[in-house]
Amino acid sequence: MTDPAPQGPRPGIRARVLDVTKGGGASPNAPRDRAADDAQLMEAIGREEVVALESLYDRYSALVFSVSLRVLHDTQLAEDVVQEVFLRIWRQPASFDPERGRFISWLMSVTRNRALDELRRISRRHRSEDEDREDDSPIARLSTTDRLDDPALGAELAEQREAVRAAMTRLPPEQRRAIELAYFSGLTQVEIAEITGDPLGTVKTRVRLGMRKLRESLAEFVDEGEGVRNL
Amino acid sequence: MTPEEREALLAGHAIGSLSDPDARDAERLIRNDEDAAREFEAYRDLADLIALSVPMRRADPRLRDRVIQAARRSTWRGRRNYRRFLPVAGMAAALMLVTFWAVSLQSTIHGLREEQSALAAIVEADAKRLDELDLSAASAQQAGDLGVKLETALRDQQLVLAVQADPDARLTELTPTSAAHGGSGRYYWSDANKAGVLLVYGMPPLPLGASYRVWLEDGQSRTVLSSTFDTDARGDSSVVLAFDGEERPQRLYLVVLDADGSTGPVILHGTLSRNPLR
Repeated sequence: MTDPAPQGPRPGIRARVLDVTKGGGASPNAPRDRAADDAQLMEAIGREEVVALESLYDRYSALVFSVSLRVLHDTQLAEDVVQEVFLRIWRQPASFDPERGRFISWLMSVTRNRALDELRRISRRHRSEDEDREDDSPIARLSTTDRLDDPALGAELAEQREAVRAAMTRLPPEQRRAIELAYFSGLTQVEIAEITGDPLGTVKTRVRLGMRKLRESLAEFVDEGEGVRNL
Repeated sequence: MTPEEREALLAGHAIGSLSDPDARDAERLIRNDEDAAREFEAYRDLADLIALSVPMRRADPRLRDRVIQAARRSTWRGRRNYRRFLPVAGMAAALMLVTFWAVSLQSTIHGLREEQSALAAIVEADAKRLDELDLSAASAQQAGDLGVKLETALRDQQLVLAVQADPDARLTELTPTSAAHGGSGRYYWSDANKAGVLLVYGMPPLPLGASYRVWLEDGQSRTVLSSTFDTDARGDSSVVLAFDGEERPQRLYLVVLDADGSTGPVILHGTLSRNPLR
């Protein structure tokens, strides 16, 4: 793992943006400070440099699409979310504040919120029916044919993804399901209890224990008081 | 709250799974407990990692083109629109300025009109007040005049009574002229009261604006205007004649004072008697 992004002057932002594009941000072996690159790309987008948006899209569109698809279970809707998220980045780059966190954390938050908004827009029954489909679980997909990893994410993020997926896999199924229903479906613990038929207290315990285990498993990526590292 | 309950609250809030009441409890805990705030931040960052657990799926490659083209159109449209509508925007700005100026001018005119109306109202009110004051003043003047007249009339009446009651008063029957037309007059003088009283009867009616005027002449042939008066409908009147001279008047002339201020014909005249009435 690399150290957190060095703080300091950022000479030649545009040159670096172009370098990111040419340098194959797609290369998983390219040693690079991803967080700094993301921040610079956002600055370049602020200057309406389309090439910077292309770089960000190439780097994160698959992740945005995957999260959206996981939430919405609909390819067309997921693509709509992808378009909206990146156009929002393009039109409102200032909505990302590097002082408040890493770009990918912000991107995942934006993507999830937008997807959940879309999910709440469609009928609740449709959503409930989808939530009951076990084969929609990302872990289930992992175990079948969908092990595609996107080289554009780079080595750092790929490593983190593997760690997260492994940590999720190690969770007891009921804990993992409770967390996934909460995170990807935007359900409250009360709603999860209604869907699963489990007592509310049981759901609360499952969420708490699952989050604690994830925290322990992913401790190297999370600094207490400093948040996620190396994203 | 047990440590487990606290952890459940913070972890559940980090992934947005709390109901509203629990979420409010969590927010309250985070605000009031720094350790809880740090723990919540750690859980929230952990929640962001969960997104990475999704299996990677690629969107339709054409989506990239759509997104980028939409971004380009957004920029290009914005710039093109900016350029296209620059003259329109300028005209709109000018129109807005003109409109603003017109509105401002209209507002100014309206304000001036209102101010003028207000001033007119003030002037009118002041005029009314002035009229009222004048009327009041006039009324006061008239009242004062009336009071003076009443006082004078009362005093004259008292003098007339006093003069006529004075046993030493001297009476002079005045001589009417041809212009008297049957009118007559008497003159009483009282040394005690130092006042004379003229009584006239049946005096001829005078033209509009004309009046009677009395001249007195002393022993030095100095003529002094004594009084101007009108008669009643019957041509009668009683007039107290003041005389400030050292000597009592010697002669009396009653003339007509025309409306134009000129002196008309003598109506009555006489040499005042030196003899007392009794």
